[in-house]
Amino acid sequence: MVEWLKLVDKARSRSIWMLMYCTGCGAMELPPAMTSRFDMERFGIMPMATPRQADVILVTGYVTKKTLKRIIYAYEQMPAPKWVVSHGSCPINGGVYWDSHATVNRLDLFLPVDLYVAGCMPRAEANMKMFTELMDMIAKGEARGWEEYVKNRDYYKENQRKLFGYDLVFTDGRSAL
Amino acid sequence: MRVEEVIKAIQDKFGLEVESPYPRRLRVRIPAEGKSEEERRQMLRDLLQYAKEIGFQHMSFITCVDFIKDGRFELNYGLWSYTIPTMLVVKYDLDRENPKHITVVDIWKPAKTWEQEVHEMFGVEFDGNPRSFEPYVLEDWDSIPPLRKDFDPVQYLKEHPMQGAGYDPLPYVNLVEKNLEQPTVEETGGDEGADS
Amino acid sequence: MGAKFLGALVLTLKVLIYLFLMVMIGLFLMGIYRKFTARVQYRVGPPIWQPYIDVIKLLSKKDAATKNWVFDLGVIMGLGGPLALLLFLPLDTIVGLNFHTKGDLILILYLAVVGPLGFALAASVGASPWGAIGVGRALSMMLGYELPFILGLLAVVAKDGTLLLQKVSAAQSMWNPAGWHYFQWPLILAAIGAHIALQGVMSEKPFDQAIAPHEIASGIMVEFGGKYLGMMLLMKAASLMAELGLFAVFFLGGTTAWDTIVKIFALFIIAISFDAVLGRFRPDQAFTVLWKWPTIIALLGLLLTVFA
Repeated sequence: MVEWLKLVDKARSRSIWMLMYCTGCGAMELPPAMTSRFDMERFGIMPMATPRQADVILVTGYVTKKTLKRIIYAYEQMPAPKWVVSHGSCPINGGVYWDSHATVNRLDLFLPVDLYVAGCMPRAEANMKMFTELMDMIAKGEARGWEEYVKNRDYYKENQRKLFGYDLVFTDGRSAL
Repeated sequence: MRVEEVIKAIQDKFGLEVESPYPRRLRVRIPAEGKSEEERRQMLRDLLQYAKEIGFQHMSFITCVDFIKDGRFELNYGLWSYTIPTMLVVKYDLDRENPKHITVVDIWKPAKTWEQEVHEMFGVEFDGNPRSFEPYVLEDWDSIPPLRKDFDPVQYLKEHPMQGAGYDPLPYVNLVEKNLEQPTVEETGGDEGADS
Repeated sequence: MGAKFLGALVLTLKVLIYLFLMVMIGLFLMGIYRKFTARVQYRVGPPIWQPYIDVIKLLSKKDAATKNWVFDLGVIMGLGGPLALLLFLPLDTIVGLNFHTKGDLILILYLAVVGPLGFALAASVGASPWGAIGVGRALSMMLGYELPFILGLLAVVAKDGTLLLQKVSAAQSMWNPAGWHYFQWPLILAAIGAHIALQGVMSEKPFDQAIAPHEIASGIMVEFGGKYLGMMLLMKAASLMAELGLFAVFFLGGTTAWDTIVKIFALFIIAISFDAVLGRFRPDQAFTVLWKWPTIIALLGLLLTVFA
């Protein structure tokens, strides 16, 4: 049974589908990782168009309040197992926009982050290192962000409520997860 | 038309002085003193309409500058012409305490969004453009318009700790309540656990 | 009584093995597609067995959102249609099984519609506007490619005088290209018309408006996640084999033995060569293109076959 799970983890690590929702300016360094030189499709990583088909959401660049709502909606639509990568300096502690009225400085108070990549913005080589690191973590079973979200749901929801001032709901009245 | 003809036409028709600090950049200021509010607004609208007719087809921007020491807002209407490649900037002064203005949406349609942004960032009310009262980027904003010079972003972030939780001088946020232990394989039952 | 039961059991087992092998070969073809496209784009590309890994990953996802039972029904129809289609094509010779299939053209065309219709049913249940656009495009594309394709197939039916696939397959020679319907005059016109329409049947560029990831967020597949997407991948593999097999039976000399896999492979390489370099038409352009020259050429082939 455990070998079967190991096989499934290995399969998950070799077929990561990335949600092509690139939040801010850090997304500039993703096309070099997709094109011929640092080809990321040879690892099985493909950009997909909708959250329902994606495994990992790369939060690239700064996060505003408006964007954070949409990121949380997209994250909660993704089927488990799912991962969040905090890409760039801005989701880590604010980066160059630390004193801005519009941005949210720390992403990991609102979503469980599995991997941090520092840089403003991280270069394509750092991106490839990030992908290989993520693949190793998934293959070993160390990346369990979605379980942390479920386990500490109250904490994350409380933080979101404190930030926005209300609970996030979908437009037809259902609560977001 | 050429640039010199544009300068001459505006000077003749409206009596305004046009300065050209750089080649292909023209600046016109609608004078603040000696006229009533109605006359100034009408002169602005006439000038914009006339500029559109003589070849300034593209509205590049409407922005605002906050001169806090003089107590005024200065609106800049940027118009670009493709035929005479020139940019014309029309400057208009507003009172800082009571910034009410009219809209130019019927002359240029893109003004709808520009005025929305100026309203959100500076607080200028554009009468006649209903969309300008909706939020543009900042949803659920509860403080003074943020690009004014008397807005202190660090103070705002100190009042909103969830948003500003970073490093010095902003306060940290208490992490004690979170269950920081990593769930073990036995707890979550391997891949079958956490069925939500 | 016992022998009959045993016979039925063995047949069921053979059918299941056949379907499983068809899907596996279809997934292998999809892997070749990704590798080929990557090489054309001067990249390295994923390993050839990448779709197997994708299917394992997708089927092991924990939870997938489902709206109601109509959604599930649509997905099952979407997967079941091509599998049923495979049962009536004489492709079982690939895997060395030899149970007789009595498929004829009318049944094949009927079953070929069940898959995309089920897919579109599932997509239209969701509340996403992208899905609605994708469904509209998929159904209009189906209307677009059916006409030249069926005209081409009808020309062969007129030549051979039968609707049964086994007889069409037997009327051609296995390896000699002169005996294939593709290179016989006047059927070559019908073959060219149907071949261009085949690109639309397989939903490859320039006729893949229904999927279109960059334009409409994957169109029909927008609400499919996890296990449903895995089943869609299997459906794509099965329908790939079915469509290519159908074309090979009618035009490339039938499928008597292991020549099936060679012919399917050759057709596939031609199709993905066009897919790798062409862009995508707009839906109205695609419709116009499909109903103009391929239809005229196939119609000409049909008329020449019937009246000359």
